[in-house]
Amino acid sequence: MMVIKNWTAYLTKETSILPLVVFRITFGFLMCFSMFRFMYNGWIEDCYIKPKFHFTYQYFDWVTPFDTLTMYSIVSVCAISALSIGLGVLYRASTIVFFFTFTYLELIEKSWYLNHYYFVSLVAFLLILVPANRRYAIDSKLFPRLKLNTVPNWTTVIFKLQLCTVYVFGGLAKLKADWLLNAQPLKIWLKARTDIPLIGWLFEYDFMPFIFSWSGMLYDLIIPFLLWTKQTRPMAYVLVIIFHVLTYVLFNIGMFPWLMIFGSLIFITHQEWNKILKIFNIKQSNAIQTYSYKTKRLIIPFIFIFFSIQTILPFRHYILTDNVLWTENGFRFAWHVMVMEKNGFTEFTIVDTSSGKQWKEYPKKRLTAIQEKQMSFQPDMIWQYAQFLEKAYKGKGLKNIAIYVNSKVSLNGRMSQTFINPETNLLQLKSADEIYNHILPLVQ
Amino acid sequence: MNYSTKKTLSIISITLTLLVTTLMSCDKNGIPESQYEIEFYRQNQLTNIYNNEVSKLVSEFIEFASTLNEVVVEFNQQTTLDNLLVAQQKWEDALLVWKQIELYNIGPIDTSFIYYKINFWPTNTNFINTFINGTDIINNAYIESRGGSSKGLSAIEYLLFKPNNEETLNSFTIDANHQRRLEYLVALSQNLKLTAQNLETLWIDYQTEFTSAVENGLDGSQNLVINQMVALLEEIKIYKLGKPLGEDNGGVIDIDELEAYRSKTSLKIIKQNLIALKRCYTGDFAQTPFRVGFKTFMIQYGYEDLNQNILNRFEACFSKIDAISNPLVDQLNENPEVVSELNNEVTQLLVFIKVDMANVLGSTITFNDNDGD
Repeated sequence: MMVIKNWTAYLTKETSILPLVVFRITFGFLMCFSMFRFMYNGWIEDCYIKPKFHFTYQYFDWVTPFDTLTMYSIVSVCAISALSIGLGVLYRASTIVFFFTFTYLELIEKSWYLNHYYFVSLVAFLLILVPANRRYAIDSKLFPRLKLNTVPNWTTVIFKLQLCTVYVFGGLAKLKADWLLNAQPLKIWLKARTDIPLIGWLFEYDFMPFIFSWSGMLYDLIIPFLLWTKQTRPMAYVLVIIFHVLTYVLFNIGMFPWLMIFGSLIFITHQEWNKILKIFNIKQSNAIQTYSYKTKRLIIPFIFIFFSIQTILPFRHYILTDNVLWTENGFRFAWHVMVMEKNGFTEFTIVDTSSGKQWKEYPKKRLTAIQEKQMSFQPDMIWQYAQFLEKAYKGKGLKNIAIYVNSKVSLNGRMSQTFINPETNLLQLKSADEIYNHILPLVQ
Repeated sequence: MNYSTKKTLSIISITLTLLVTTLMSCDKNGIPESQYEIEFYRQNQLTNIYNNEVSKLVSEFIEFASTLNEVVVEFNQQTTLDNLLVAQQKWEDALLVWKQIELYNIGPIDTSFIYYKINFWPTNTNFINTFINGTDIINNAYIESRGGSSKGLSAIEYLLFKPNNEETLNSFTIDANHQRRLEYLVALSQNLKLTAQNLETLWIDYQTEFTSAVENGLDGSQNLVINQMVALLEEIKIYKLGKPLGEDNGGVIDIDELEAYRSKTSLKIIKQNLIALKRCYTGDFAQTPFRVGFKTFMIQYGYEDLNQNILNRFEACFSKIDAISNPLVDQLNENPEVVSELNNEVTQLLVFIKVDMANVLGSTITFNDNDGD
């Protein structure tokens, strides 16, 4: 009971709203930019329009895309709601709209899954819960009675915890022989980036991938504590910048580094902001606060449940599989960030069991390049594609068919190996979960 | 400025200074030695591809296309069996060179769609017959305005190779609209010659960009070449062998799906594709002492076994091709198993290039990768 009381007291104590506001502004503007970039790169067509078939998430088969114009409209609404979050206008509505539009867009196509998209959905959800528009926002400008100088501590702690979840589980995911003993996949990636100006020559040396692997793992596991501790925070933030700028330069990693760099600003306290602003002769003053923000009764238990799920999800692969990188059972939603280089090849054989006739199906005929690539080494997607082929062939009038897959996968520099048992009739597997029982073991 | 702020700024300054100093300290004459070496290897590979392969093959192709045009003009003036045989031979010469260039459909060459103008298959025989039986004036401008399916090497093949030479000769001498058929053939060969020259111009304009794009990203030339190697192997597997084997229709052999079955050059085509692929992999384009290819990088990165596996798979493909004595079109009917065996070997080679080689080189086997992890 004492522990619960202490935690509740810690979470409900008053703290400055400034870090939360900074987080809201940077996140909003960054996501607005990200959504317009998504449009500009032609990814609406690539992800939603061009595919004839979508790899949906388990239990979310009902999430499907609309026509081109509607999809552009949804992405635009998503971008505008992100901008509104940044500006702090119609905040609560904007956060709800952003969360639902962004999550909808992510749920359409599994082959486009990225850890940072998942992170954005989680943060967007948490933003709905907090009063981040009560200072330095159009809402609080228009309605001064909304202004707050302080908010309950949990409103900033939840974002710190969310960032720490990414780092800690990202670090734990690196505690593998491939990463630590073989320096894979960095050995492959760094060798391929020797052309980078100034630092590219360093990657010629065999010890460099080991240095990057070990320091990356240590960084992930230690940085949350360094950011959380007052004395080490300045150094930690410098490390955050160096680390993520390096990952941006070295890898095709999109918005993730910027999300982490700007997201980590949540750790900088009101007093530290004042010191930074003082250098530029900017003075930050308190607003006239007419009332204080009250934490709703259910919010603390809800936060506890939310982060309990967040903690359990990344661990589920320990129960499901003995090699998550090979089987990918429990790989998603678990912060396995940048831990493998994997390529695959698949071809499907459709057998009419009545006549013995056979057809070959090469995924590139029906899938986009990114769908084909991602499906080639993800068992649940291979199963999904077999289901899609079943429908296509039954549509041609074939009633009794069996579907087999010839799949070869190469993981972290190993020679390609047969992935799914080629003698398994994929149509006999009732759900995507069953295919994991038909993965052949990684030999090396 | 208080102590804490000073400390923060000091840490930032020291870190950045150390980083820059470390990076610059190894600089030699502006370019670090090992960076220069890597760029040198990549650039040498790309220069090797352009100077000793692409440029040479394109010149040859222009020469053969011009010769083909000359003999077709001669055939137009004297429509004899001898001239027909010469035209057929010159067409095959041009085709076999083209099948080696087919691999390099990248960058602005790809986006210009010039490959469709030179060799789009299967050719649309209905379109061609409609044009011949029509009343439009047939010349190069007319051909230029037509789509890829009614011009280029495949269209010429359709006109030059009937089931037998007597039938072919008759189509140009006594059949209805034979004169317009001849005119169409002449215009096709002239258009092919001019298009080959345009291809050379495109490559000359692209040469500098191609040989200097040494980066590993999506636009890096090495990455473009790997993607094209995969694309060509997939084309052989899926379209040049798989479809004729009936992989699309429940196992019914489909001769019409075979590339260049009229001229019985289908197998030679596949062999030329594979020769070009192997040369591209090894870098052995010319008898120069320093030959950089993908093989060089595989060995440098410590994957000698994989390199040997890839070379073995190439040899296995050539053995299977050599074991097929008759034209592919006949073997498909008489002995499809040997064609299936060849297809299986090509599949294994494809896996090594698409999965293993791409994995160890850290290449991106897709043109529209999004944001990493």
